[in-house]
Amino acid sequence: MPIRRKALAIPGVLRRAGAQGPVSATLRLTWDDGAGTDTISIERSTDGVDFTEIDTVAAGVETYDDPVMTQATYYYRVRGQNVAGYSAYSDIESIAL
Amino acid sequence: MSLFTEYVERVQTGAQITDTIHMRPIAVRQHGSLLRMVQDFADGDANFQHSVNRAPLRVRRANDGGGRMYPVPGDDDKWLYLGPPKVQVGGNWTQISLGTPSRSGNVLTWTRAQSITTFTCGGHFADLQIELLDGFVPENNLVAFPVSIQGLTRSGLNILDGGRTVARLRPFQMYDAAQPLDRRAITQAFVNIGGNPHLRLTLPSLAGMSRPVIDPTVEIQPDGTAGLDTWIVSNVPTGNRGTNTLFIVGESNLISGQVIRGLLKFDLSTVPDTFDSAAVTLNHNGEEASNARTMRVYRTKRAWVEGEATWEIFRTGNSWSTVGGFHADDTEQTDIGSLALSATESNGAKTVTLTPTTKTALDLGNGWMFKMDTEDGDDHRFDSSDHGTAANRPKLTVTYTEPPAAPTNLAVALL
Repeated sequence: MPIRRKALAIPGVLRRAGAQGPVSATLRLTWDDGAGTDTISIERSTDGVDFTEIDTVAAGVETYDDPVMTQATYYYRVRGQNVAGYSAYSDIESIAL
Repeated sequence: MSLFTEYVERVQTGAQITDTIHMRPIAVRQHGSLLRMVQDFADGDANFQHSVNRAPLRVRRANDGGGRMYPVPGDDDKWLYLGPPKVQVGGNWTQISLGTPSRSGNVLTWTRAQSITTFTCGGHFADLQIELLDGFVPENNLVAFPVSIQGLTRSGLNILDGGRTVARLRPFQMYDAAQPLDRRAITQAFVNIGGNPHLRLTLPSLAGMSRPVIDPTVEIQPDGTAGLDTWIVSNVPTGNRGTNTLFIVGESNLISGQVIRGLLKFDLSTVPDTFDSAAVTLNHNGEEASNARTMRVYRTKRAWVEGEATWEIFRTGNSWSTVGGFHADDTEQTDIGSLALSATESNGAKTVTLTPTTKTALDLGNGWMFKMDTEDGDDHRFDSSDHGTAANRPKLTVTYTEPPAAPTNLAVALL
């Protein structure tokens, strides 16, 4: 599966202190479930390489709000799961705060 | 910040390669809350007979298929109109007469000979799906929808409210109804038809579109060459029945003391490691019985050989621990499946559901022994893998679940 990395510079993020300091922002992920999905695993990374699962949601939800507190570029990927195992990962999407 | 600041509209179409074209020409989705808020359609007014008024994305639909969607909560003056579909007839655009829909909950359905159209309001999304039937393809591959907006503006496929995107038409896609993830882009354009704005879709060719190979069931039904089955009989303790066309279990009602047990083994190389269910089907061919009996399936521990196993040995030079092969060293004592058989069991396929859901638990590597609970005067005869009718041979059916398809269209945005 091709991997896309599109970092989007977002102006107007609320920064708590200083240009490089903490931020208060909520990132919204949306996707389309693949067929046969029971749950969706959501993974986040700040380097695009090492991902950590941050949550799982039921199939059909297809949206997730992730509050972040640190200025960084955030990378996300999701994958489905059912009793037979995991799907392939989605493409990687990113956003720069 | 409102929970409902982002709305997404998507317009998709899809077509099936063979006898059904499956279109999904519009779906309007509002990503706003984590839960879909579904409201049922209720009676509307003279213009829009079906309405969902209280969901975050409110919808009003007319019997002809057209309708308005209100992407800004609480603002009735801002709407997007999508009219009933049109196709070309002799080069002239003609509105499809959909007729009056049936209504069930939050779904409207228009049924015609050439299409089934459904419109679903899911609270923060709406979905219009058209399935074209019997190979029908619109003339020139064209479909168009009258469109208009009030109180909103459009930039490409984005619908804006005061410069802010509140809705988005997703790129049009076409896909095989059996393979929704293999999609092809549809050309869309806003054009003037009859002096009014329309959204025109040009369907692509589906030639060469692949169909998925998804087989959640494994069936194994070998013939006499590949099949491994035999039966062992107490009153012919050195006789082998490896090439017999029957597979017999029980005790003869005609010959006292003739206890018969079956041995059956399938090649499980195509069975997944884990699965949902497994069952073995035997074709009942006859019986000599006067009592109801239960036939049980046990995993065998001995590497018996089809052409050598007898009441006394499991292969040449190797005796069962106890003649008949049901000693605990020969065969497990707990069954993995059973089948109740009446004294007058009808002939035909009989299926024994097996309890294991892993390949390692299904078979220890040596197949199974079929044995009656009570071996006293009742036997049942089934067809073996050597039977001339392929459909009558022992069959193992394993069903399993595929891992899900990968999610698509992942997007991330700042709220």
